[in-house]
Amino acid sequence: MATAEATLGRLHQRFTSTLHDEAVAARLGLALGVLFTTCAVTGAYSHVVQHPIGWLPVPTRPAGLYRVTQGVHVTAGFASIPVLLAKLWVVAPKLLEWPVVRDLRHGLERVALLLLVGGSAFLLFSGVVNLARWYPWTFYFPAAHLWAAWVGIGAMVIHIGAVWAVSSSALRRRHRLPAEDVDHLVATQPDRRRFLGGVTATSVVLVVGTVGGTLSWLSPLSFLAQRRPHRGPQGIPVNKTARQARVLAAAVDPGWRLTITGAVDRELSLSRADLLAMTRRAADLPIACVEGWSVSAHWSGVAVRDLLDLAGAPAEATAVVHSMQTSGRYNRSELNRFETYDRDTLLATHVNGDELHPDHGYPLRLMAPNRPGVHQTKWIDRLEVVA
Amino acid sequence: MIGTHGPEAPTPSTRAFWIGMVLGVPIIAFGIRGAIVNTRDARAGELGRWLVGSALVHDAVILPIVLMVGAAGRRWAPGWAWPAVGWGLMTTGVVLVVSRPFVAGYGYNPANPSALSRNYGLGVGAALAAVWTATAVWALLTRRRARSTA
Repeated sequence: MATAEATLGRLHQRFTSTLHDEAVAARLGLALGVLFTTCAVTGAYSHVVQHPIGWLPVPTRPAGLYRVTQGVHVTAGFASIPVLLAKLWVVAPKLLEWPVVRDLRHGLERVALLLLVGGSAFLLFSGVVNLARWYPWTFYFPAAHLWAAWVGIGAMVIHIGAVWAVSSSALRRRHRLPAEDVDHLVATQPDRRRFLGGVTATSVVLVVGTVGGTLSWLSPLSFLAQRRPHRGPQGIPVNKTARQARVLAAAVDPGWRLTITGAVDRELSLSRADLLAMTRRAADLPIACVEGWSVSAHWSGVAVRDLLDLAGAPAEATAVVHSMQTSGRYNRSELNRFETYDRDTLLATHVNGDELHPDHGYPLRLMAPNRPGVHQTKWIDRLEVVA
Repeated sequence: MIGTHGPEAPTPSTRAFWIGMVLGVPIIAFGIRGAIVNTRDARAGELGRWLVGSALVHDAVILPIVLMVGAAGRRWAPGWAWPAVGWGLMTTGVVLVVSRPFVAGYGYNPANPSALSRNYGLGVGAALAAVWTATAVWALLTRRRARSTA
């Protein structure tokens, strides 16, 4: 035991940089707290729109809200990577503390730290590799990311409580210290400013490297963006092609019809010609992917509201759209009462004036305001009305 | 120095710690319960190994590498160049690690060419060239300032 203590003590003395300091740790901690809270709030919103809760229907306006919140989620995540690494480097001497556990409180703090460090590292790693579409595990990414986030948030709350007095005093301590300590602080201040500025600059490199997925004018600089804004059929990126979804034959079958079933006065079966003869509606709406990229286009087709009226559905009805895709989690999606009411909720046949490409959902796809891309269901053949 | 407990160190607040515990433990429990109840999707056991493993990989692999590269760089680089070179090394490390799955194309699927449609190797090379240009400019400015004040 004495040997371990001596070894740790020797290693501890090798941390000679003045940056291993409470004031630096507190500032980086504050920045991480803001970034992680931003990720948590936007992540919770993304969860609610991706996994709808019956009693909490999400409004359709503003139409581009999800594109903003999810762009912010991914950007804040990338921005926090250098901040987290810098914070852990600054507090590295604490890793060598002896004894490993001093008392009950210290033990609880260290368990919470294990969950906080592990949770933060896992959330950032899994978020990055999800953008790279690489899944080196067997769990479903959104579920694992969500539950790990709750563990990380809880651990963060405990950590904030544990360091509250020390950090808040470090953030304002110049006013409280004896004169010689203030001299030392002033002398080392340029080092600290440079270090914090450097960490910020590294975050900016990563943010510029990815944010072009949302801000298309930055796309040329975004060396890590998953997409180019206009690369794909009809100048729009695709998440899953018709061939990958195994629907190509069904999609181009001339016998295709849209059926409207469920809580309606009269069930309908409409051909493509019937749909094209109906009142046309159009809207500029973004495809906003949960992976952070988004692209706007001009979509046109038939309003879901008009179809519900034609079938004699109740005014407050909700609906489920069904894809011809037989497998996959996202082969159907729910429309809440805000969405069925909104005339910009389209079953689209055209994009930017052209007939939809099969990879964009020909013959019919959903395009509604303020929805994640995975719920803009493609290759639709059934609209089920729920009273 | 962080992690020292001299007489001048501020006393940690017991009240704030226990408030954090009272608020934080139920949130952690909610997360663990969620992973277990939804284990078909979340694979609670595997997820737990990833969580703890991520902390261990950081502490036992990433941090020692950072400390060793930092120590070597500090010994090798002239004093005036170190802040800039240290930043260049840190940024290069972060960019190389984050870009690895993109550059290696682990998730690329030729059946959907619109996804991961960039030349990531070229982009990362250009970004690192910009980082080291900035590093060189920063170092030279520091040197000039040091000479003019000497």
